[in-house]
Amino acid sequence: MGMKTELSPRLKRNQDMVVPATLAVAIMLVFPPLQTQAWWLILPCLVCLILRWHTIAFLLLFAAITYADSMWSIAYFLVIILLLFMRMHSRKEAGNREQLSSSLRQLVLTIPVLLIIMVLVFAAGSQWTERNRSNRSSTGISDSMTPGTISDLVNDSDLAMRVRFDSENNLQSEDLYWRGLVFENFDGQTWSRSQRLDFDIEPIPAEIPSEARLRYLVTLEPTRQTWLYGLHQAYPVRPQTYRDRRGIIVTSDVIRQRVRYPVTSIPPQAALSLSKEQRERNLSIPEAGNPQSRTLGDNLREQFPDDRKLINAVLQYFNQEPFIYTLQPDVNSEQRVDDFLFNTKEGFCEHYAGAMTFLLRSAGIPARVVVGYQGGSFNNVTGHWQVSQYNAHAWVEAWLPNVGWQRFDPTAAVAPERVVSGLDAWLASLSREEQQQLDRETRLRLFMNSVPGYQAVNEVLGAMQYGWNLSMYDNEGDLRTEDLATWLDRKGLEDLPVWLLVMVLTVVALRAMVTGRQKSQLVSPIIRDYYRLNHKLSKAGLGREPSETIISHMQRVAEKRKDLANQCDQLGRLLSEAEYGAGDADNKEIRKKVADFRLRKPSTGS
Amino acid sequence: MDSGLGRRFTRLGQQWRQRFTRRQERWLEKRVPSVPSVQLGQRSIFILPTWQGAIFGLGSIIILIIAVAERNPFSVLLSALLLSLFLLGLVLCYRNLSGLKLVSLDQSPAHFQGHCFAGEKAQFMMTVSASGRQRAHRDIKIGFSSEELQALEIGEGGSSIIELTTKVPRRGIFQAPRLLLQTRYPSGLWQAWSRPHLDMQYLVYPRPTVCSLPDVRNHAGESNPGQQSSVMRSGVDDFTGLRNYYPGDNRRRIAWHALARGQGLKTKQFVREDDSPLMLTPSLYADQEMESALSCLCFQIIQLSNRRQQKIGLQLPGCRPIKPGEGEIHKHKMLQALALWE
Repeated sequence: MGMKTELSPRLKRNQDMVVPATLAVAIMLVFPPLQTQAWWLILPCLVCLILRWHTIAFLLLFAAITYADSMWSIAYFLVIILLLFMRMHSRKEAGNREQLSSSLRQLVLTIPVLLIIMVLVFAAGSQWTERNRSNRSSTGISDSMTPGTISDLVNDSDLAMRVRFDSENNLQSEDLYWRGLVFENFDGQTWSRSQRLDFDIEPIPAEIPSEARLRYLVTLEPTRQTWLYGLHQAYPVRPQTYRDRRGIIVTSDVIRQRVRYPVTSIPPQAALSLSKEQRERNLSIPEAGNPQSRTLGDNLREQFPDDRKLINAVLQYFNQEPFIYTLQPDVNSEQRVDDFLFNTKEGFCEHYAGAMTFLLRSAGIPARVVVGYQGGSFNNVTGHWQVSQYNAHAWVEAWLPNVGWQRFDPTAAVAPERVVSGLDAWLASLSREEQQQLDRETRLRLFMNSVPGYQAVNEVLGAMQYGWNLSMYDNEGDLRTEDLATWLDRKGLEDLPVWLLVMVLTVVALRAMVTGRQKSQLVSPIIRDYYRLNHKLSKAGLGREPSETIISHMQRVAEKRKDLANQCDQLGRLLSEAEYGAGDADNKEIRKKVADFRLRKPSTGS
Repeated sequence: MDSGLGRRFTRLGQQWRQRFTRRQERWLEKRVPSVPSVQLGQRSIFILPTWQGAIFGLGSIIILIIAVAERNPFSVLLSALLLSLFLLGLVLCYRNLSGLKLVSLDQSPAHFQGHCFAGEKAQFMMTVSASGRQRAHRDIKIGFSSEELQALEIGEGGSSIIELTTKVPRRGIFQAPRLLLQTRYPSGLWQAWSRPHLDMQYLVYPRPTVCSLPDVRNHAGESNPGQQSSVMRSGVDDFTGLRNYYPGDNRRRIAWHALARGQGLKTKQFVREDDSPLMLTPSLYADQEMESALSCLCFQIIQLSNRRQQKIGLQLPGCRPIKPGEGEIHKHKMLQALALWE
């Protein structure tokens, strides 16, 4: 009885080589060149690969591929793609060799197609970069001002930022001048910022009483620029963010996603002295050009020795002369300021701010242009201010002795309703012909504003979006997963996610290898019972021969072992009836009988 | 509350679907007409991505765009590889069907692939061969409808004979329905399919119905004098069937089994071994519809030709009578006449 009957090949489990290969691939992740790869995507991908969830597996693989960063990782992903295509082989019953050859063949055959695609991608990619360079990739306010930069934004109703004040206050829309950039350089055409930064690292002066401090939280939409916005003299709390002495808040990183930063603002502090260099910079006007404006400046100086009176006179000039505040001013020639002040007398806030600064400088008063946002709409549900791109604005700051830099808004002198009740109110007050000039989206916005109830709905929606943003994202605009990671870190469980994934992978792989999942699915429970019985019989050398049916196998056993004859006959009949019969057999009973089947020593010796 | 609206909509939907199916059939008939042998090509192969494939293709395009935007050459390479694998799948899947030759195996001289009785399954045989010596066609599913498909694998330059069965409902000439070949080789990202129409016909005899031969005595008057009488006397030798019990029948011949089954009193009928030729006509079953009469005649032809020395003939209205004869060929001649009778 030393000979052991082999199970026939049909009964032998087809070992699935993909599973151990997948495990090996998982272990390969510990190699140093691969440690930067996204294990949190690759491990679930491998789990899905073992479980034959192809679609999820390749979607995870797609996500993981975006992290590829070396030739090593390319080789690694090639192995995973090979395994994936082995798994995706259309014939489920295909053996390992067939799967492997098929997917290798595909990888080889795909090389010409790949080359064509790469050529196309590189051709398209070069176009892309060309376009990128010429196109303005940033949104909102840019870092220079020519006529048109701000009036273009009137048609842009995208959100710029949301601001929530920490305490109740009675700030009105006309008090809210969100300072962004300060433009000091003027070349006759364009106002631009002086690139020289003069960092102010002083903390908030201690003598400022807390009731004079204004605390608020700004949520800034992505600008792709490197500065933030704040009121008056603003002190933000954000890493890698600095204050400039001119009051610009500069970040060292580009704002690519929505960021949130708390700010404390104090009223502008009296700057009793102005450095020589600063004074020069804020008095400089181009050597030539705009002669009429220079003369006007000189005349004003002679008329008003007092700076403040001079400034008021300029504002009055804007107010009393027939100046028109309009979105479509007549085109100016080379002598922009002269043209605006004496010919067209039409302009938007950038014209007024630019011209006023020019006048003040030619009269000997240090002045500069400030751009940012003005006003906003108050949301009554959450009590936050919503500032849109069309709130973009430009105004003037002039330096007065004993006072320091002070804000003057020529727009308020020309079109006060623009500043007091907001841009939309001003647009709504325009004549019908002028409104026709606006773009379609803006006209729709104005129309919707006049629909009763629209504002309320909008406010609720805005409040929901803001609440969602506050709860789901952290200050840097990332999903609040950091909080979970920090919590795990505190508990000393920083590696828990890796271990969990490794555990899941191991369990799934072991299960797939041990039970031969594919096999057991194809086989009915009756046949599985029969396999069990066969396993018992084969221990006594009575296993199934190839090409034997259940009945003939059982008959053979019954003939050889008279003591088992009854049992075998009965079981054979039951099994084949249950499997091939009408289907009213009692599976439980059969299972019990198979389980009870015992082989005893043959009573009839050898 | 049932306003009947739902039912009406269902009916409307069914009508639309039928109309669509008919349209599609007509279109296919024009594009892929019925021929005795066919080689699958551009006109007859259709290919579309599967759901999985569509997700795969779309996903690879998206990550390719992301990779280009992020200027990550490694990701660009890998995502382009995935995209090219997707596109390669299209070619491989198409090539797996293209060039496949299908030839119907015409065995019988009468141009029929075979014969069977109505309600049975017709078996159609055809040879499927690879398009070239180097070409293999793997993992193809073939059948008459998407519900019953069988696997087909053809190695390099090989060919194989496949047998497809389909149920035939009615007697007459049965035209094989359109074939369906489909494949998702190699990776299930694409599905190619083809609906060639092979010209294969099957002869379908009427479905035999068990019924008794009417007693000749009852029909004696109807038979024309001078013609060979379709005479058959009640005998004792062979059981032919049951008829209703008439008072005075032999009690030994009462079918007690039938009575027990609740079929009422029946008398077993026997005929005596008799060499006199017998002419079968539908008028023997004048009380039945023509189709069921043909079914009964079919049964009788099978029954009676099994008996030795019983010559039988067949007279169908509007056809030349088949002279009484015997033998297998004669039997099939009569059955064919039954099948083709209009």
